[in-house]
Amino acid sequence: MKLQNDQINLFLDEASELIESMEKTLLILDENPKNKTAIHDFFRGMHTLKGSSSMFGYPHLSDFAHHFESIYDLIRNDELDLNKTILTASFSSIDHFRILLSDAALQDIHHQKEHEARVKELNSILKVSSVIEKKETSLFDEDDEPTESTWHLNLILKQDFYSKEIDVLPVLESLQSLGTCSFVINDSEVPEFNEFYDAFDCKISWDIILVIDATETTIREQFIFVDEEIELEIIKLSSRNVLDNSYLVNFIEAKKEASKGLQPFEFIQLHEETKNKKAEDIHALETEPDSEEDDHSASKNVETMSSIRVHVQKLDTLLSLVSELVTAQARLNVFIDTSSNNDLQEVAEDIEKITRRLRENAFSISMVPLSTMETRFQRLVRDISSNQHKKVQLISSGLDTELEKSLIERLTPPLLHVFRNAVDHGIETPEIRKAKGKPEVGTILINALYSGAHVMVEISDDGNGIDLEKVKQKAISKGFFKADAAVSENEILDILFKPGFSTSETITDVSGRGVGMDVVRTALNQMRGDATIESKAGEGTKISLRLPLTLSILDGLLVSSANQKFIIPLQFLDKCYEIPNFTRNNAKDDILIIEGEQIPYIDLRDLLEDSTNRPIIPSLVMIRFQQTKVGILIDHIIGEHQAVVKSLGTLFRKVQSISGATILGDGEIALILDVNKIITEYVTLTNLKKEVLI
Amino acid sequence: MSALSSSNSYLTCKLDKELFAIPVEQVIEIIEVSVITKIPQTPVFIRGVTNLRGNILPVIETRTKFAMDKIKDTIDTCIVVLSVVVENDEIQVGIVVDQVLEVANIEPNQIKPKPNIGRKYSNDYIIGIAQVGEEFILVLDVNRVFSNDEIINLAELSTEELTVS
Amino acid sequence: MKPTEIVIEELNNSTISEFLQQNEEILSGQIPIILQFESIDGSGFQLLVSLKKLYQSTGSAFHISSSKQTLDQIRLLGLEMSMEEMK
Repeated sequence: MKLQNDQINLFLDEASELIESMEKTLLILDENPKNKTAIHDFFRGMHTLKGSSSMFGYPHLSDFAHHFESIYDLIRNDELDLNKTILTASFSSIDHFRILLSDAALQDIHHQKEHEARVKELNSILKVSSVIEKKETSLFDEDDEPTESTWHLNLILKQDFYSKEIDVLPVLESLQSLGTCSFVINDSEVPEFNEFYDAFDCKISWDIILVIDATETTIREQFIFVDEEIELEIIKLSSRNVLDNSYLVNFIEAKKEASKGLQPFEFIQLHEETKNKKAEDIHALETEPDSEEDDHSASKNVETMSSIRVHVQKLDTLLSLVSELVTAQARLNVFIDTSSNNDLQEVAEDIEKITRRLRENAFSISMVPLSTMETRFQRLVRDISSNQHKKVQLISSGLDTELEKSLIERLTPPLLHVFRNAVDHGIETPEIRKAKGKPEVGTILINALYSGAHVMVEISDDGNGIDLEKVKQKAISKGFFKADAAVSENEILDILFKPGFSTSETITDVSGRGVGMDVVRTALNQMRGDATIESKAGEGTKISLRLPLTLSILDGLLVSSANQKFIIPLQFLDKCYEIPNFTRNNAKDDILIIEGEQIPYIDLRDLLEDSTNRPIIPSLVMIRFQQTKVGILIDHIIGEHQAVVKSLGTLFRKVQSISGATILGDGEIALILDVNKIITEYVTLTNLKKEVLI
Repeated sequence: MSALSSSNSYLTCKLDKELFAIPVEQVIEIIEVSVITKIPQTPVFIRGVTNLRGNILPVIETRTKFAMDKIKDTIDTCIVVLSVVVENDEIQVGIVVDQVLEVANIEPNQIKPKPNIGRKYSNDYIIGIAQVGEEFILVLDVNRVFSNDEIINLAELSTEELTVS
Repeated sequence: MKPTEIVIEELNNSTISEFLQQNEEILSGQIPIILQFESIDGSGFQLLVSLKKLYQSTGSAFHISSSKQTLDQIRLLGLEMSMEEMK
């Protein structure tokens, strides 16, 4: 049974990938609806999706893909033009595919409704199109001179049909008197016998292929007496009798046997495929979509890398084991250092080297390029710019830059937010841009690059930028600055990240940016990163997001206080000082004078509630967070340390000052200080104190 | 889901004067008390964390958790490492006990229901009280005991009360 | 196994509940049956459809014996099954 699950998981993975690549193709078609290669690519993808979803028990998905395939089949045969309506419907359908993957049986009522809406949409596209013959006229000429035409009827008896004591059989028989009828019954809804408690609960429906010399009105008239008790949908398949096609006749017979109804699309598709072909050619036709034009694939990657799919859990296990190895190896080192056995030392060194390489290698496996998110970015920009009637192009560079997969996932919401802002507030409408002498199409550029132990992701736009003066005025009115204070451009821009500022309702007329920028910064901070902003009024804005390469390893300073060890992340570190003449003076605010500056400090021993004797010369570690400088008083500084971060676990999630732990070489546990929280708490406390004093 | 042992086997331990039993399926191992790192801003019944083969193991001061006096560790003091389900997550937790006794077989019908003393929470921690030979043993529902933030007054449920009534 | 024969004059909504009550064995679909009736109406048709489904799933034999007119009707309405004209 577990194997079955694995297979389904594999299908789900592959189906997701397929849907994503189809989405990519759609974006290409969005730019150029005439791109033949892309149309074929899309058709092929749909075909594959239809087949595999049917195999793995996703009938709604398969069905839906089938309808779609028909539409794109018409498009690729030049019988239907790929217009904006179809494209938009296609995009919505991509989203719907994802829903169908997650809710295969459409158990959620919202999903059901969505499905009905989507199918209706597809039906209407097909109705409007030339269905079988190019010179076909649709339902619009239904009241013209009747000729013998082929129709599809979908007849559903409403639930209470039988209780009204009506008999449908005579009605259907009279239909037969009009012309040639083929009834394909659909018994899928008819319950199993042990559930068959209500014989009056009608569950049969029919799909009827009718060849008659009549108009739609005439056909409907046949059902006039049961009008209220049925649902009848009529589609004209052709203005002539297509039942001379033996394939269709056989098809109908087969469908009757199966008794699950007959979809007009399958009928149409089969007719398309077979109308000019002989029997032997049918197979060739069926295999054709899979083999054609492999060399000209529109969305083909230039480099074809060989890769294998690995379950995330396996990767996690590998990383976990590697971490344990690193810890064990560090312990080994501690013993070796004290040994005088040279041979042993040599072996230990080898092991250390190998362990280090193994760790680097293992971590690089969980690194994934940013390009995996590219389709999502493109899609978002397209959707928003389309909604706002703006023209925007997204250019990307450096997306082969790799990040830890979990980081990319956490980065995505703030990143999408930045894009949203850029299109929403940054890029102007085409009219305004034209008036400013800018190209009508706005550009958003996303650029990713390595910078030391970090990755920088920069999003720039050539929109209207930020009006610094307006921001400054608002900031002053909100009390962030004094009216006459000398503030730098950076400080003004930084204000946009402050919670109190950006949630202002009038933000849109101030800078056109800033709604939720505090959310972006908070998200980045939680990833041990940061967000900054640069702008030039009238020309554009650039948001820079900085992230560490991985969250599992932290570069920090190892310190000790009251015989306990702590790690302070290097990213916040400013400087370290020894404090030779330290005396605790409780009467004053906790302020030390360092290099002429008044620096507030926090005594780590207070956090530990330890009152044992401190060393004569304690040390002060100066940390900087945003614009605040705070010192942390500790006993000793031990040295720099690259820590493998371990979470403390659910039991400790309420602990504010500690963000994790690491195991040192000798097995001791060092706690990682959450500098962010410590400072925030400190700032809140001092503000409170100030309020109390006032 | 029953919190009883599926094999009717329980590890019995001693805390102060009380004996209690934990289903063996939830016991991972028993370790010596070694270096325990204190974590600031944690409840009093958490002694800290310790390094268990490269993993961080929380250690619970069980005496304090059960509103008993804390004493110095003795030779017999050890940590029982348990697998506990907290909010749908399975985690490992170590509990300090005065002494580990033995693995005892306790049939479900030997476990009498806990006395109803009117306190609505406390009763949930104990599945029942079993009599093995001369002794009364409190059978614990470890998931409930060690996944909440309260101090439990085990004394209220002690076997002494039982025998008196 | 010799199929069980069930005779009903007319397969319609009023005979259905009788049918269901009296034929529990049949309703398991494991025993081959021949269903004999003169005529059929709408709700009877649904019963037939349901029985066909049941028998198809269990793989047992299921025959219908009826008047020619009724058989034509059944066939024309897209229900394919093994049928025999009543003598």
